Amino acid sequence: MNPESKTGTAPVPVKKQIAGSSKEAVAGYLFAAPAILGFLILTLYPMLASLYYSFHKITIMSGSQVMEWIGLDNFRYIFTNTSSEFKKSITVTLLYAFINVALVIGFCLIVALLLNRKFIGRNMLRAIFFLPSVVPMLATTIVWQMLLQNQAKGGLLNWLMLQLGVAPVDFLNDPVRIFETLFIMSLWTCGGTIVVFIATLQDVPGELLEAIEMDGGNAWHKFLKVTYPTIKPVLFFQLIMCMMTSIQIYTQSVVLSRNGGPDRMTYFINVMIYDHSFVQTGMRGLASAEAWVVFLITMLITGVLFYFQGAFKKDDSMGKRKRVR
Amino acid sequence: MKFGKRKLVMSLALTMALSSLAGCSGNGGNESGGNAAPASPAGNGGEATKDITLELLYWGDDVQKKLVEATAEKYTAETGVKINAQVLPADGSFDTFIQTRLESGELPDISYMGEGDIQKYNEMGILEDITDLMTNGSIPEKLPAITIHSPEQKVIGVGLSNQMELLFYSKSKFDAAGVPYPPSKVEEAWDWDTFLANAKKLTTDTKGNTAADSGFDASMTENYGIGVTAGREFHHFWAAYANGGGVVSPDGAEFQWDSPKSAEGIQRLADLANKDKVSSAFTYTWNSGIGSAVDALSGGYAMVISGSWDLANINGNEDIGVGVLPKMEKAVTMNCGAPLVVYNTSKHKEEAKKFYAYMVNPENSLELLKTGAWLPNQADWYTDAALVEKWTADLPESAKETILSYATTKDAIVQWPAYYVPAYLKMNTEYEKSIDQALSGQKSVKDVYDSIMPAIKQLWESGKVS
Amino acid sequence: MAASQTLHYASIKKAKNKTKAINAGLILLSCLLGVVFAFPLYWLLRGAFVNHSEILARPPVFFPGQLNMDNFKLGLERIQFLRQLWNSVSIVVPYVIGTVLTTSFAGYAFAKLRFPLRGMWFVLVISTMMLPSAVTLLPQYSMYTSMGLAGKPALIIPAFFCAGGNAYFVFLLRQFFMTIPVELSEAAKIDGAGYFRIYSRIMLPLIRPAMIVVALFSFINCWNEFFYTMIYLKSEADYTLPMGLYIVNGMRIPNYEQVMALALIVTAPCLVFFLIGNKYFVEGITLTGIKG
Repeated sequence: MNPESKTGTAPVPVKKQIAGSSKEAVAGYLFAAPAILGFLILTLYPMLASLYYSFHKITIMSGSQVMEWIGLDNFRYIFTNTSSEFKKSITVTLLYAFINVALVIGFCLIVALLLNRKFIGRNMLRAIFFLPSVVPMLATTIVWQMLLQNQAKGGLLNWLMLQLGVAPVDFLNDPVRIFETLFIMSLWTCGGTIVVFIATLQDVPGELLEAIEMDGGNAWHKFLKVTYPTIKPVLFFQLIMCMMTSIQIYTQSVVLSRNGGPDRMTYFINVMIYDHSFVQTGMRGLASAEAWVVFLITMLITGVLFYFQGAFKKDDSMGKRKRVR
Repeated sequence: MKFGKRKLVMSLALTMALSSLAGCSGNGGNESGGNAAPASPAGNGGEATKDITLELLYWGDDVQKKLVEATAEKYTAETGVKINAQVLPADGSFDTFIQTRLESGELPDISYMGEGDIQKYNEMGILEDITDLMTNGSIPEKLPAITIHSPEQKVIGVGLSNQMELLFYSKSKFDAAGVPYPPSKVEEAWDWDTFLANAKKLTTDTKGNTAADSGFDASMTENYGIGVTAGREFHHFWAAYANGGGVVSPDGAEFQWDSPKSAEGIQRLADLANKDKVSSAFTYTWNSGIGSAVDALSGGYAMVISGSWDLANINGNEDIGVGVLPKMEKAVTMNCGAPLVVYNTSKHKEEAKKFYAYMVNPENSLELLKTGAWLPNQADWYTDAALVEKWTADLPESAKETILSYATTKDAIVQWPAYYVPAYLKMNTEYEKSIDQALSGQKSVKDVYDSIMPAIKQLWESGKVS
Repeated sequence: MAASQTLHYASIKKAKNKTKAINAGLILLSCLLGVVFAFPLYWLLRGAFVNHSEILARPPVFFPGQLNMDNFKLGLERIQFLRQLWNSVSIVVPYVIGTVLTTSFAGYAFAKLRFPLRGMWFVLVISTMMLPSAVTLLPQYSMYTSMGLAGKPALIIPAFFCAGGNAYFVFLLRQFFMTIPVELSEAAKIDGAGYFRIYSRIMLPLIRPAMIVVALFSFINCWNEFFYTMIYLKSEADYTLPMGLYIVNGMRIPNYEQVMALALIVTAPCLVFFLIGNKYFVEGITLTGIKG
């Protein structure tokens, strides 16, 4: 289990280990204290408190909030009340997240494979792909809004399309097209993943690739038999991270339209929960309940992903130990 | 399982530990942040009024910001009361800031307030009754449309300015298409068919065909006849009133939103983009529109429906004209104008009220009035020739005519229901959930109304904010 | 047999030529893609330098006639620039310091020190990466509010507790620490060095590249933070630069060329840090154990 026992030259004498262990345990807890405290205070406690909140109606008064126990009413509201927007919100969020993850992972992999060959300017290209990912999302959205808006407002892309005789597209007001806008922005900012993939591809054993080539295998075979198994753990890790960031999409929606428009198609979970927590009054209990349902759904999704990755027991993505290839 | 309890106990203990730790750093934070400092009693315990600082929260663009800052400085020079003026985004999120301030017990002394939110805060009981300012003459009679009453008929706010929906147009585009300019007198307002026919003449595709021509290809539209800067609330409701319907009758007694006439009015608006193809698409948001009206007119729009604040963007641009909105059954526009409120949590209520009276005096916002960013909030400023001259001199002639025509024609300005319908906010929240389906042309307005109006009517009947 | 051999060679040669052609095509494709990726950045740059009539002009102005510096001046006048710059810096600096310190502590502890329940704590801390932030939002908010910390401190504190997504860095650094051979610390231990000494004298110099990566990433994360700043910063005087940009963008008279100038200013530090740290980003990502 412990990497040290594997990498150490000789097993440390048992006696010494025991002698050193209490001191080491204290040191270990001291060093890990910020992380452990952080988990307890900023994650575990708020999570439990949030669960507690979810059974209440919370009203804000000057300088305080008043809580009234209402049992499961908030959850009932979420799933049965016709005014509840939870279903729409979670649907658009998951729809966005799943398509986005597929697009981003696929796109990044393709770009990484493209860049995984030696040519002059390769490093510059890699920098260019990475650069947009450090641009604040706020600025990203503003720039893309200018590029994608209506031709009559000076939107560049639509204007060019018009000149080429192609019908312009309403990227910003159409309830379906708005997703295209979000995907474009998401792909534009996925440079981090590209860099990770490029780095991982360096590990793909060249001999194996050649061996497959000699056997008459094509590029697809090579990818499937050698490349994919090598990058699988990283791919999986990136997939999970991408899923989490996609589910929590917020800034783009708020900058593009401040109320989840058009037609509430960008009324994502975080937008809704923010709305219910800080914009509308008396809905904080509801917001907590919604957050908990979202939490359970995310757990379910990550659970399923882990299950299919076969990584439940020995998850190498968690970095227990480098697998021997 | 065993860990569960232990962890909980531990976390509670640690929370407490943290809170004591946090106590120290909290002071430091306040000192450097300084946002709570003005309201803290430490600064003015037992000292002269000189050291009173009032905190004002407002929103606005740079022009408004400069003006508010100048007004505040002037006030400080005159009275010695310091004003800590803090600007916030003018995008509808203002309310959020008030709410978080409320929760942390750090309300300002005085602030702007969203028209739709004032009844909510009144119900929470944090707004100061300012009726006495009106009765004792500190504040002269304001336009009734922007004087806001609580359900108990106390005055809880007065609009800083009056604003109304106007029709902006580009003269050169009208000239090029040979279309007469939109009228600037209410009684001469274009009827809807004329408006539509003209808008069609001004809409062109890449081949130069207008929407009135037979060969017009709507998918290749290059220039639109009409655009809207925002598609929300008063930018939207005016059409219901213009068509003889409404949201709630001005006396608050009758629910009109579900009437066929309201639906038809809104449908006409939606049709501009979806059926008549004379406008680009818009939805029910503050910013799905086209930036400023003037930018749009110098771009691909011939006419733009926008709020009167856009007058400030004209800046002497000779090409821009202003006219009255087209009429359906009636020729009306809708007004807005954010009120200013005093919080009863203020430690200096009396001083805050004095500053309030100062702020709402049009004389003190003359800079904004001159640019057109604000219209006066006082009735005599529209009728008294000398006063009118004070603020209209720099405005385009057509704008002046239009505004005065609206102001002096009976029933030409309908009041935004946000001012007098307590449940407005909830109703609107419910409304915005579905109305985009009609505005984007997926469903008819009638279909959407049929499904949402019963619930909205119920909210109205409750007569309560929350 | 021999004939088929030569045939095979010929086909390989042919295939090689074909591969070459494909390769060239793919390189061209990646370059094109690079241009597409770079264009919006150029558009941002352009937007900051054109004048008001050019920004939304049709046909579009690709190269501003003259570089218009007024946008920056006017843009900055619309926000409390120095104040907001100071706010950003005074949040980012402690945030980055806190992140680098505590995540490296935790990474060290989880990688190199044996203590009871280590595995459990590690998994728990790491699992916060997969937690939707909404589920902790309101109680955290109430907690900070009741302590009077619902402002700047609320944005800084998480960095000192490996919270707010920093678990990712703990994981990253732990992977890095694991690559350091155990003999090094054993030798130091025999010399009588304490654990902190081992950490600061032996470990830190070795993981410096990874720490730089963490510092750069946490800088960019914190600088670009929007969701929490929206919640915790409540007046103009408290805003960070991105919030200032957000306000101007939301104004009824946005003047997009000024918005672009501000956006460029807000983006600039990230770009500068990226250029400084480009080498470390790539190396760090290559070296660290995200790769499992």
